[in-house]
Amino acid sequence: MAFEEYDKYEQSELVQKWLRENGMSIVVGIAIGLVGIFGWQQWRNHQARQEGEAAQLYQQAQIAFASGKPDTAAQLTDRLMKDYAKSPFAVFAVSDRARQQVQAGQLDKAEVSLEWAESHAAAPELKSLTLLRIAQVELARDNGKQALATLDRIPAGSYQGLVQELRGDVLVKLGRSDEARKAYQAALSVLGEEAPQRGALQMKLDDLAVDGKQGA
Amino acid sequence: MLQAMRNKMHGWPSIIVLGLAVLAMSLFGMESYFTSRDSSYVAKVGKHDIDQRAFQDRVNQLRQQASAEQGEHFDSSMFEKPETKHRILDGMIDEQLLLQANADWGLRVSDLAMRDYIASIPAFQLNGRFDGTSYRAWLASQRKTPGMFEDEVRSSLAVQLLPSAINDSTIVDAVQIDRFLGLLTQRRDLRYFQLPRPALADSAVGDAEIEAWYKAHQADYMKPEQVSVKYIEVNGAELPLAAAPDDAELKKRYASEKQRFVQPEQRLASHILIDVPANATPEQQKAALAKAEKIAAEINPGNFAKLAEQDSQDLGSRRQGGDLGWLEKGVTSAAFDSALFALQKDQISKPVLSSDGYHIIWLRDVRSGESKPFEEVRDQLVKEATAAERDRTYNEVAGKMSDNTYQNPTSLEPASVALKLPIKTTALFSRKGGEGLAANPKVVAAAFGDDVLVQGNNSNLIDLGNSHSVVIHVDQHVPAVVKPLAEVRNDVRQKIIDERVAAVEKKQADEALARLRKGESIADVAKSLNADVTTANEVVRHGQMPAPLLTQAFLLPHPAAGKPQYAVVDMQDGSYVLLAVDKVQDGDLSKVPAEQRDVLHQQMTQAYGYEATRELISQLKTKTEIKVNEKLM
Repeated sequence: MAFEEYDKYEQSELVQKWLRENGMSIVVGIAIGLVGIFGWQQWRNHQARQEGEAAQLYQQAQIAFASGKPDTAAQLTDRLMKDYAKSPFAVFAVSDRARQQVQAGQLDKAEVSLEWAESHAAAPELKSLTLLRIAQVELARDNGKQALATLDRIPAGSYQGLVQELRGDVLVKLGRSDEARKAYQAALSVLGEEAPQRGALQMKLDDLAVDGKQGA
Repeated sequence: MLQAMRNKMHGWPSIIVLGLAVLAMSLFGMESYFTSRDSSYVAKVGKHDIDQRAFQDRVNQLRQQASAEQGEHFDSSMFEKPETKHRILDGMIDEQLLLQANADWGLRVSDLAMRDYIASIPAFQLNGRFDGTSYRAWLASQRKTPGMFEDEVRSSLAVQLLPSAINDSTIVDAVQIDRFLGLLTQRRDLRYFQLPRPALADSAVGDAEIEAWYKAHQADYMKPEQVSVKYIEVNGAELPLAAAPDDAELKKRYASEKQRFVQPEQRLASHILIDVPANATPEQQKAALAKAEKIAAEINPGNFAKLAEQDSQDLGSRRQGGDLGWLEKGVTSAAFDSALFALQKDQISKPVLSSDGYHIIWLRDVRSGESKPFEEVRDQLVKEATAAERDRTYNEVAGKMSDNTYQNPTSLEPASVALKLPIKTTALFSRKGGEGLAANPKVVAAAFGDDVLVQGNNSNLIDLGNSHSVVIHVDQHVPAVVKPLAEVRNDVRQKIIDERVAAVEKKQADEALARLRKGESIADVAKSLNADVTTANEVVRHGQMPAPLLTQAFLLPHPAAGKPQYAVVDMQDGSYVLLAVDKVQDGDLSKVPAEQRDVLHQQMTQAYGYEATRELISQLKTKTEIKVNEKLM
């Protein structure tokens, strides 16, 4: 029987009955919905604020370092590590610290910094980049085997130009020229056409020439 | 009416009619939901559209930049090429990928960075510091609110966020630099000899052979495409002018520009200089001042010349008693000037400090400024009037020539008749240009351009500079042809002989190489071939040596001790060299200056940082769905 065939009174009775039966769940549903929307917005705002604060600290640390105040820069980086450890800004700030440590000849400290960065990098691309840098420092510390193991942890298809070049460098150090040559060739095939280091890479490759394979 | 319809329509007919109506309404226009969105973007990166307008804006912006940078050499057709458009779009896609990575990773531009950036824009600065008033004025002129402009700055900075964070944390360690420098400055000990040219046993070349070569190498014997053009020209220097202006006209000109012919006031001065060196200590300066004051105290016009000769340190004037001759304003330094022009006649100044030291100045005479009489400047006026007239006539004729040749694009005849300018003709010339008018690259470009060569139109007015311009029209066009065999016969014969010699030489070289590899000494092999061995120790990559030899020397494997590496080098000029690499050593790093290491460190950091960003983008690309709409580019 269609709804319109009831008279007005009956119609309102029906509606009220339905509301009595389902009203509670409707109110609860709307309430949950509102709380959800509101909460989501709060969460987004909170995140945006966190990101903004981390960005600010990173920027200040960069400026402090560039204007010759390494102590201030170090304090700011420490705060990033403590309060915003999940932010990629912390990872970049610590990687920057590692760079300074390498420049100061403190390779062991640089490795520690980079390991912190690696364990806090959330995005896989950032993790790979940090692993690459760890391997680089390991090679600089004359720890070729370890460097190879670190490079193996980088997924295929990630920074292959840089990874293969570094792998070649490590293999040369370990005296495994044949493998090194293959790594350099792989790096050359991936490296950007206009990358200025192409010439240097080609030079490393040429230097590994053996009879019958010269000028590879 | 609706009520009436409702009353009449009951039961299944009404349902069918309504159903059809609903169906029709809901389906029509449906396809637009599927197609129209497709065509509104040039590229789609993930969920973000790069729309046509954004793309076009970017193209225009780059076009303007290029035009401002390259000035006259700017070629706007470059921006019509698909390669260029693709490159620009690729750049925009890369930017978008970086922005999306910022959002996914939680990176954003800090307020500090944004404020610093805005404060660093020179247009908003006053005396090197940020100035709020100029900033607000600029915003008002652009009809932007601060919020809008901040968003723009934020998004342009956001693109740089990841690249600069990666760059700033890129590590280049000492071992890497050493390795690179060691290789770059590697030293190799070489010995080599050039094979003497062999005499040919058979230097007869048959006609058939010549013909076959000629047919196989037609591309080498092409005569390039040539054109000759007809042209009319207007040259300011050769234009007939109206009679020279008469005196009445010149006088009018003189009257209206009188201030130009006023001779400035001149003052006859002498001086005594007490030197103060540029980097003088305060004590030195005080001593100089004391000396100058002492002289100033006892000086008068009577003894000036004597004291100048005795004490002045201006070597140029001391022998003349300090005489500087007649001076105008602005000839000497500002301090000297203002002191000199403040003096009365026969007055002597107190010591005046200029960049040279302390001056004591005596104003001996004054010649007040006066205007040059008309007769004196008449020639100059005539010259100026003629030049102006020449310019005016040139512009008028050139303008008419441009209009007329544009309105009658198929011929120069009408313009020639109307302006009484003769039509001249050049000789044939190729794209490389020819002689006379055809030597001008603008003319050559126009002559071979689509409009003139293919469409057969008159060119635009080509400005050759110095009030000289031409309009050209193609006269003859000779397409590229192969030169007839008769013309190049000797050339071909020589090529064939050269090739035979090279083949014999190559064979000798290979044989010699085989002997070397078997263990014969390079001295013996050279001697048997009547050649002299050259020894070159510690050769570096950028050494002074023929390029093919140097390249090959650094491509050979490292030799084992006492076992040189050998190779035949094709010198690219038809001769061959046999080369031995005896020893390889890394460069001497102690000789590399610290500055060079620093520069290298910077360059490597930049190169590796840039490459890391590039490879990051290529990873982001594989993770993101990217569509390009070629039709809209």
